[in-house]
Amino acid sequence: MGFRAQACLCFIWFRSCAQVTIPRMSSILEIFSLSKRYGRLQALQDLNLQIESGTTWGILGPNGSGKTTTLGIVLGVLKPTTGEYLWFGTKPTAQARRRVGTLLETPNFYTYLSAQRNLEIVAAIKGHGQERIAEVLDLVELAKRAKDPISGYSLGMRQRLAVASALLSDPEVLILDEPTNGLDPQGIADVREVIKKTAQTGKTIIMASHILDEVEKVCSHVAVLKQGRRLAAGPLESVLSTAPRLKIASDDLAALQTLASQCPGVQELTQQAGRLELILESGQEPAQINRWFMEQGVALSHLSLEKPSLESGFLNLIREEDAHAPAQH
Amino acid sequence: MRLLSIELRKIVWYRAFWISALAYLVLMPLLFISMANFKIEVGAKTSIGLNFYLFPDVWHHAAYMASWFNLLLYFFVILLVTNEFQFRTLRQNIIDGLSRSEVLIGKLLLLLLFTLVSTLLVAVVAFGCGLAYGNGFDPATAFDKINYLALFFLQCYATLIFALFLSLLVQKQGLTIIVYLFYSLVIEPVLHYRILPQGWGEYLPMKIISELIPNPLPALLGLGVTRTVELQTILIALGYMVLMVVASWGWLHWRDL
Repeated sequence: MGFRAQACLCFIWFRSCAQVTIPRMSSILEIFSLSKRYGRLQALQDLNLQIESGTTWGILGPNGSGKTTTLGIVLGVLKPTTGEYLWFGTKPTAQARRRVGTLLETPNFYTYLSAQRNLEIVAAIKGHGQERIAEVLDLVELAKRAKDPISGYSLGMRQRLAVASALLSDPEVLILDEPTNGLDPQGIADVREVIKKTAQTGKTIIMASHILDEVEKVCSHVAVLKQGRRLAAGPLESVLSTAPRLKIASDDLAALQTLASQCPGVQELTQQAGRLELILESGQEPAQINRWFMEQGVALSHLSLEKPSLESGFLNLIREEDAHAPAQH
Repeated sequence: MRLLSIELRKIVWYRAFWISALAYLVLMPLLFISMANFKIEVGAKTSIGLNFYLFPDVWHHAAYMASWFNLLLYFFVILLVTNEFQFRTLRQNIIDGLSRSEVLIGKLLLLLLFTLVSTLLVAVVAFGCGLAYGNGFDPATAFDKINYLALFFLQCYATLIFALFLSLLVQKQGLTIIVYLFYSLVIEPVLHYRILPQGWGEYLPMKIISELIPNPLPALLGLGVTRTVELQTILIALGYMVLMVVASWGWLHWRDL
C-alpha cells in the first residue's frame, strides 16, 4: 500500500510537472446536476462530477446505487430526466462517443458472428481500429478463437472480448462497468493488469464497481454513490478516510464517555459494542491519551489502536449516510 | 456508404439472411415460370389457358406475384431489427458512436438496397419470361406498362419501412409478428368495414399499399378491367412512408435504449 501510494504520488507529481507546458488540465467529462427517474424510482439524483484528463476514477456504490444509470446517460443510451453533461468540454455528440472505449454492463455482440467480425463492426462505427483487431484479441487471449461465432463463447470469454472491444480504437477515455464481472481469478488479474497499464499511458479511466479492492488497485480518485446520490468524491485517500481509531474501555463506560468528550486531541467519539472508539487528531499518540486518563484517575481496562482498511472507510461512509438519512425525511 | 457498410457487415455472414435471400431469389422466379402451364378447367369442355407473359402486361403480372414474396423480406426485416434489441446490439452501436439518426438511416439504406435488388429481379424475370413464353417482342409497345416496376419498388419499400417501424416500436420478435398479423387481419378490416364511414377504409395503410399493384386476375379471366393506379394512391402511400419514418425517428430519439 505504502509503495503504491508513493508511486501514485510520483505519478501525480509527474503529471503536475507536465502541466508546465499545458496551462490547465482539460476536462474530459463534466456532469451537472444529473437526475434520472424511472416511474417512482429515483435512480439518480442531482449528480455533479468533474473528471479531468489523465485521472483514474472509480465510481463506487452498492448494487442499484446509480452507477450504470450514470454511465448509460453519459453514453447516450439513457435520457436524463434533468441535468446535463459535457464531453471534452462541449455538448455530447455521437462523434464524442467514438473517442471513448466502453464496456457497459453485459457484453453485447452479434452472436452469430465471430469475434473478428464483431470487432470489425465496432471499428467501422468508431471510424478506426481495423488494424488493431489482432492486437487486442491477442491481449485478451482470444486470438485462437477469433474465427468462432460468439454463440459458443463462455461468459468469461465474452467479457474479455468486451474488454478488447473497449480498447480497440485506442481511445482517449476508457469507461468500464464492472469489468471483471464473470471472470475467473486469473482473468480478473489479467484484466486489472490491462487497466493499470492503460492508466499508466496517461489515459482517463472511469470504472464503476461494487468491489472496493478493484477500485483501490486501479483508481486515483473515487466517487461514492448510494441510492442515486453522491456521498463523496475526490482523491481516494481523502474520501475513504483511513485515520487510525483508538478503542478504549473501562468499568464504567458512561462515565468514561463523559470524560473522553473532554479529552484533548480527540476528534470524534462513538460508542460501539461496550467500547469507545476515538478518532484522534493527527499527531496524537495513544500513550498521551492513556496518560491523560491516568491523570484523571481512570484506569483503562482496554486500549487498542486500529488502522482501518479502505473497506471499513467505505462501509463507514455508507453507514454514516444511513444514520443521517432518517433525519432528512 | 459508411452506414450501409456497417449494416452489411451485420448480415453478410448471417445464415438466416442467405436462407431468406435464396428463398426469395429462387422461389419467386420459379413460381412465375411454372405458371407457363397454368390452366383453369371450366365445366367439362372448355379449358382456358392463360398466358401471363404477353408484353406489356407481363410487367404487371410479375410485379403482382412478386409482391406476395415481399412477405418473406418483410419477416426478415422484423427478424433483423428485433435481433438488435434482443442482443442489445443497437444500444451497443450507439455507445460505440452511432447517433440515433444514423441507426435509422443505416436501416433505411439497407431496406432501400433490398428493394432495389428485388425490383431488379422482378425486371429480369418479367423481361426473360416475356421473351421466352410471350407472343413476340414489339419494342414499340413492350414497355408500355413498365411503370409497374416503379410501383413495385414503391410498394416493396413501403412494406419494409412498415416492418422497420413496427419492429422499432414493439422490439420483441414474436410480438412484432403477432402485432403485424393482428393489425393486417383484424384491426384494419374491422376499421374498414365496421367502424369508419363508407369509403374511408380505402385510405388505411395496408389497403393503400396493396392498391399500388392491383390484382390482375379479374382482367385476365375476362371478368373486368384492371383499375389503373391513381396518383392519389401513390401520394398517400408516400405520405404513409414519410409518416412512419418520422414516427420511427421520434420514437428512437425519445426513449431509453
